[in-house]
Amino acid sequence: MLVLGIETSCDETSAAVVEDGCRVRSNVVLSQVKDHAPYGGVVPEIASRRHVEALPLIVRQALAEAEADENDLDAVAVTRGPGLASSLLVGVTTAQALAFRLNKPVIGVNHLQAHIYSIFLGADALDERVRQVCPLVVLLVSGGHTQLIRMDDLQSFQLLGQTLDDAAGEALDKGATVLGLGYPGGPAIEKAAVGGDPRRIDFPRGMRGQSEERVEGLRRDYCFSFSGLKTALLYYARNHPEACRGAGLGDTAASYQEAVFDALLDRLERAVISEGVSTFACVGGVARNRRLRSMLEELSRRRGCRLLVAPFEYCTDNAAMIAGWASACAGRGVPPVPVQDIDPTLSLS
Amino acid sequence: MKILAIELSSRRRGVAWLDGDDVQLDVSWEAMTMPKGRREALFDRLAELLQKAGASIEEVDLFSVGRGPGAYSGMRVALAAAQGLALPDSKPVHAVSSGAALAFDVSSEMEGPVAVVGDARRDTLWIGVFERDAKEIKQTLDWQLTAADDVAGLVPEDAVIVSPDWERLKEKIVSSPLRSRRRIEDSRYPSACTVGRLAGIRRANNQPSEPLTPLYLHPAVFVPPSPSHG
Repeated sequence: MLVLGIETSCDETSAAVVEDGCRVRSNVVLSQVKDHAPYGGVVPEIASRRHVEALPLIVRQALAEAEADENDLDAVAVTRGPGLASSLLVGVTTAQALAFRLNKPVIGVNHLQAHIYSIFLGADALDERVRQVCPLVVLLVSGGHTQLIRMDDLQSFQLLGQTLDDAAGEALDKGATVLGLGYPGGPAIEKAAVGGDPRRIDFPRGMRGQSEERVEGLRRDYCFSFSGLKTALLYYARNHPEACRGAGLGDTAASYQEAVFDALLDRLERAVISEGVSTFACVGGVARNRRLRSMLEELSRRRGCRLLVAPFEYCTDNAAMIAGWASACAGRGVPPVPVQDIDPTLSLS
Repeated sequence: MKILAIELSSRRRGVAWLDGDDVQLDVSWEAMTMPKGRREALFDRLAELLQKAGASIEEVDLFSVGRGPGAYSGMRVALAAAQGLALPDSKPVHAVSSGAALAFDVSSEMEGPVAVVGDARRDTLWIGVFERDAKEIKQTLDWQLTAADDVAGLVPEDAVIVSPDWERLKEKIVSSPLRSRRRIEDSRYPSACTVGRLAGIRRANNQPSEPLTPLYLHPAVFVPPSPSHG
């Protein structure tokens, strides 16, 4: 089954062609990061304008790189949410138009489920792979989301915990702004932290503890909060300006990054233990961070668990995960989700 | 030449099927009455149009689209839809300004230049001025934003004023120096038929398409970038 995927939920314009759920024949991603960098974050109106300009060319390029003709496609898949409304609109309309012209189905995809599916892209035998690794706990960590999810099979997701304020990627972006490191903040902090001492400054880890109290229906000890950490960095930078430049910057960046990742690993480990799983995974843009990957590997060794991390090219937003997820579901008889409209606030399940 | 036209820049949406200059069929609808959003409405209406016209999407030689100015979401949907429909086999897409289509229709009814104005929000209007030239319509004042008080200076004395936003603008217009000018005192909307007709004329005259992007008159961002992010 050959599926064209389209992803425009935020500031990446992407199209991909995936065969039988796992074989990525092309994955073209146009980043708008330079357009948004002067503003220190994604500007929705700029994102939407760029998607309109770029998407037709990106789709053509994805088909060309896949050496696929439009008529070879079995379906067109597209992110219907969550995301920026004006950006989702461009992708969904393009997908609907293409499917209308080709008289093929258009499949609406949940962006969060597709991120989780990114750990299966490239697998040789998908069903066997799923049986091997499920159930597992997934840490989905990006600029827009920070969630802990239990996955029992390809169609069963349970939200265990999530951030109660900023996403981890957002906390890194804001931290980078405080430290004058520019945008996007995650890679900038990672770069500045190289060689720094991550234990030099004891930033708060936020919401640590064993409480099984419920917050918004979720276990408190599975949830995250980064607002206190951001404030702590802001005050620290005001009181120690020398620590935010020159030799001190590396220690500050490393300590801040470590505090974010410690909080992620603390909840992840707790969920792995409580849920009784032997596999855990990490997906999303922040999963590109090498320090986080190293901390995940250490946790995996310590707990004797299997670790799955999305390949680098499928961590940030991409259409391969959209096409792959749609193709995998359709190939297993799951009725396609019709795209009635965009759904900017779509939840995991 | 079979033309499929899409025009979504105002509250009156429309699609049309033309054979050369000849409008075979058009379907229009009010955006505000569609409960499920514009996308579903557009493709339902396209299917309805083709079915009623006894036509197939494969017969289309030229996709034409109105690029505004007007509602941002409508313009984006129209451009994305036209380009998505045209993508297989790389069929041509020809964009024309929706305001030119509206001026073309008005100039068929009334003599003289046509000033097309719209509500650009934030206490501003957008305006463009057109003059009929045989079968075509020529823009004599390029699209621009202006304060309501300043718009009179941009409108030729003999022009007729028309707007797709008359209900929202009438207070501003009748209380400005424009009150003594010729005007159509009702909202008039760009039609998909005329978008298709203009695209066909321009294509036949080997005129290139206008850019395949919406006609945005406001910048994307009003707040200048922070120096700390530079």
